[in-house]
Amino acid sequence: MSILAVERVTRRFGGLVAVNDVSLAVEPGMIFTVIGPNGAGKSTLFKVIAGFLAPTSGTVRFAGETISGLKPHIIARKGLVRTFQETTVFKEMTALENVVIGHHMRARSGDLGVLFGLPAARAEEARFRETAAEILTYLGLGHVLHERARNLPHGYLRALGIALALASEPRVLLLDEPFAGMNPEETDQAVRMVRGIRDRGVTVLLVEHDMSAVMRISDRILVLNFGNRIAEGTPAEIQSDPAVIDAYLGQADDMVGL
Amino acid sequence: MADQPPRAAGRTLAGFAVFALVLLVVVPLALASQPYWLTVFSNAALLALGSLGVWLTFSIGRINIAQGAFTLVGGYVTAILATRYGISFWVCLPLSAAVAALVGGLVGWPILRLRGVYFSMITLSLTSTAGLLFLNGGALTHGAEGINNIPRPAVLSSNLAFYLASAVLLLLGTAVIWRFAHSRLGYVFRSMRQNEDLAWSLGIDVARYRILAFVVSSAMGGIVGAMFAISQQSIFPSSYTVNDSVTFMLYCFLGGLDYVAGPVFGAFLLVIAFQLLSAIESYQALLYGVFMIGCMLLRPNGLLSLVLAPPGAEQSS
Amino acid sequence: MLAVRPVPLAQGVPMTQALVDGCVLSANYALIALGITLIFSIMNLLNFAHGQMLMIGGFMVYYVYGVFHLPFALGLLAAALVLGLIGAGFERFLFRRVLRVATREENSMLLAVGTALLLENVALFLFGEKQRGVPETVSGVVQFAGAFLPYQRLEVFLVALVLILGLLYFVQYTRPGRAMRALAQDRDAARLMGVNVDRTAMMGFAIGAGLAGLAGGLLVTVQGVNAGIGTDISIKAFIMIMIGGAGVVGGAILGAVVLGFAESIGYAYLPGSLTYLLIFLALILFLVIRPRGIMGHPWG
Repeated sequence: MSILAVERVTRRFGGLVAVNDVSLAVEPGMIFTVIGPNGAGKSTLFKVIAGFLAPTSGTVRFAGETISGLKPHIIARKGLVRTFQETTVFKEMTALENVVIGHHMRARSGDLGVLFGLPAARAEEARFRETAAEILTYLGLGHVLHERARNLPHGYLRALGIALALASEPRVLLLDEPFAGMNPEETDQAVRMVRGIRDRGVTVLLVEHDMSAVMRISDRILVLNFGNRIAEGTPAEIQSDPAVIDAYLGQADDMVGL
Repeated sequence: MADQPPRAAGRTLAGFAVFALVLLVVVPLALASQPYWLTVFSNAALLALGSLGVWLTFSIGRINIAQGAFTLVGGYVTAILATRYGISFWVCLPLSAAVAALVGGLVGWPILRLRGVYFSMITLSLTSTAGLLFLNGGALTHGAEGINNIPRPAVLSSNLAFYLASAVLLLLGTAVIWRFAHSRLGYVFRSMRQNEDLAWSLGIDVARYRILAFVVSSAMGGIVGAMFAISQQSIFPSSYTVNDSVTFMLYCFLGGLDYVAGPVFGAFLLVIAFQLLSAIESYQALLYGVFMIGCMLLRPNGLLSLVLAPPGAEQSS
Repeated sequence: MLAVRPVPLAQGVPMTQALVDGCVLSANYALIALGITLIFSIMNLLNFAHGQMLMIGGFMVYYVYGVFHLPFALGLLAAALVLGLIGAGFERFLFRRVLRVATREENSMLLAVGTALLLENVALFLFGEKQRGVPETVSGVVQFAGAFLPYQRLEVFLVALVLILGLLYFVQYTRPGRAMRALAQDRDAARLMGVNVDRTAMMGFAIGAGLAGLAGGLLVTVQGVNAGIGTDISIKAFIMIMIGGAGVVGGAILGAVVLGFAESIGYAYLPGSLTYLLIFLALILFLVIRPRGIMGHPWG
């Protein structure tokens, strides 16, 4: 059974149809990518899946359960966690504090326990700090644990954003343009990181328009254009699909990266 | 390595102990024979307690100009229960906190969805609303005449006793707020201030936590109102106005919004300074304005930022 | 249980009277709301001192026209100029600096609260606590459909209307007006288009403050003025922009009309302080349904 299924989702903004009758199915353990030119509706679809927008029609299912229409934090608690474009982290906190917050939904001790510092809550907090440090070290941020996020270089912030999401032990991680604005070297690093996440047993759905990275990393690709699904398949199939080439025609060849 | 530097935790505990010692031992010994100054210190302690609540709402990223409304609610609850039904103050006090908290929860639920200036505007209006509500309360609140002859419990009849009660409440309040700020809940609150969407996406029930913060803040306002009600033994719809709500806020950020000690420091500094310089007392409000402007221009992070490092920036050493 | 004293229902005020009063009030409130909206949209700043600025405008007219017996128009001009200067000074020396270095949006808002306290207390010091009024500028009353409309109020209404139309024309069709709209939409884009951002922001603040001064100058002929009215006026301004939606010109006017009529009808039929209590409660309920006001954009 697919772990994440989008079934005939449409989302309108007034007269504009941003996503038109799109379906997709993500199998556990895969890296699934949604690509498309600017304005293709990728971000809207992403927000619908994560619960930040409700679909106008259609449903989103997570592990068989309908999640469309639920609040984002409920969806996150079920194990479907998103990251944000660019470098959205808590800027005024240290890297470690950021990732400790990422553990929030795994917390079992109640607010009162935390407030009064009961032993169970303290033990849990110590555990969170430990695994937070571990995740940061795994993503190559072990030497900046106590640095304020605001002072970290750009590339680190993206990794920190992913660390935040990983801390909640998601079953499916939604990555919003993780390679945007990276040079080839940074992209290579990020590609390795995303693979590593998948190898930890996390299913990955990513929205991206850096074609070359996508072709290397994805198990399956869905192409959107003007809100419509125009192709789906393995990277090899997508590269030779005439509809995809059409959609990207008029854009510079290096953008397509074929 | 990942643990909070124990040195910092120890320092904070020591700081709190010194603060408690000063409030409960040094001040009473020094001022035992000066009832006027004991009253000044009681006022400062209670105002600091109210500001601590406002500070907690600041920590989730909301500028709360409604604390005057909740002191009014707390004051009227104690006034009505004590004068009409003869209920003991020690029952009135927690009930004042509970009613203020309840009102805070009911009102907070819709208005906490507003952010930035929208939230500030509506909280400012709330202070006026509370005054009008009690003005129109009929026989229950006696309109503009207010409620007089609120009994003061015998135990608190001396200035010293009242001061000690205020100081104990302030210490308790400080401890609670300190725990809020420095436990994981504090992280959660700060995360909401910095980016609510990101907090939602990490599974944090932002709506619940912001109501929690507002309810705690309102309860503290209610306690302050109850204490002032028995100290002044009367309460009117105009006992707390928008200016009082603004003053609570001013104490917070004069001390510094990044520190739990900020509102306490701000309240004591201003209240005592104005008593010492009684010649300028009539210009108090004017100087508040000047302080606020000067502070924003020169020390936007509050006076305590002169001596304390910003929190959350523990450098790895 | 809550025995509200049965005030005789406002001595049988006819509905037409409430509506006429509502018109006059709305026009005046629109001046207030437009001023605060102008500053809000250009600077992304809520001018907490707006009510105090209005109060100072009222005192300008009180002194120029009421005390020194110079023409009323000159009093209005003085109010506009003095407040314009105060506004420009605030922008130049306080807000520009704080907005540039602020790490939190609280900073500029708290600064605005500080300026409100400052103005109010300076006014208290200069003008004292007394309620001040001025003699009528025109006398006489016109009566129609059971309603009385003193010429004084008619004059206030007409002047306010002319000012509103003038402002709308200015913002819509003149070069500096267009620069302000550009600034309101996108500060960076406006800069790229060659708009002098600093000068335009200063002008916007000055005009917004000047409008507050004019509104105060008009209002003093009807209601008088004292140094303490500022906060209440600011709260009214906030109610209007919460109803209409902050930063939207149409919303400001709509909010002013809603509040103006709610107030005049409420005062005609309800015991005094109950009107605003009901307005506040309605506002909170309204914000539950429409947190951004009737015409407001999403924030952020």
